[in-house]
Amino acid sequence: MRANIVYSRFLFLIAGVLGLLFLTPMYFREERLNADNPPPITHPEFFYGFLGVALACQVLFLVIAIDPVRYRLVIVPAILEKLTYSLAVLILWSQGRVSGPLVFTGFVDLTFGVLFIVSFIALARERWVR
Amino acid sequence: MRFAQRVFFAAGVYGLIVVLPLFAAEGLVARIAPPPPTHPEYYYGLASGALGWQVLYFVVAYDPVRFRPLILLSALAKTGMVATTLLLLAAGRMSLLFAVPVGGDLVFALLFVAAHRAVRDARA
Repeated sequence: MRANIVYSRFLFLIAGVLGLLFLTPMYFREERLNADNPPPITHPEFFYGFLGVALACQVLFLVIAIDPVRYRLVIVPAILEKLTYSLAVLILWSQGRVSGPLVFTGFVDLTFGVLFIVSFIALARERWVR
Repeated sequence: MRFAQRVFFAAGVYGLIVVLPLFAAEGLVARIAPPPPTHPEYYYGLASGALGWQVLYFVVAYDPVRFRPLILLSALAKTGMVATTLLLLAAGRMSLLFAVPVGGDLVFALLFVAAHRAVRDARA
């Protein structure tokens, strides 16, 4: 298997697994998060909506990892998701509206976003055969 | 095939109309559904993730046969949003105002399942 395909498979596998490990426990930790990061969440629909959408994205990354050549175009929305979130966190950080640990997640997503771009470019010459 | 393309194109357009304004509407949300959101990271995280999914719908519309496995995943994502909304509404933790756009998600979840079947039948 070519190096670009191996790179893409590992990248999306790691992104998906790390995301699932980080996000899934949050479903059961709203009260704990409220205690650790006051003030309490006033709009749970955004909290659980975010978790649902983000979890679905992690499953999407795992699907891409199965066959990065077939799903190369899907990398575009994956890049968009990572970069818009990290940009939003960095802007909120510059306004003093989010704290340190959350900024770390913004940088992690920024890193994955850049690595996704590398994967998208690296797979450009591959052709998927039906 | 045509049906699936139209469904996903419509889903993408509908989603962009609903999601894009969210990036500029945090203040409006605070006014029309007080109290203001206390954790903006979840608000913008939801908007960012949802934006990515709308673009994905255009990708699926481009070639529904190639991306057929993603059709069911899209239906699952929509269903998850509907289920979350219903649970929060039942618990009295969510304004009915925010539940309205989720009605569109329910319609598209059903259309995605129909599109999945249509693509399968077209391949057979």
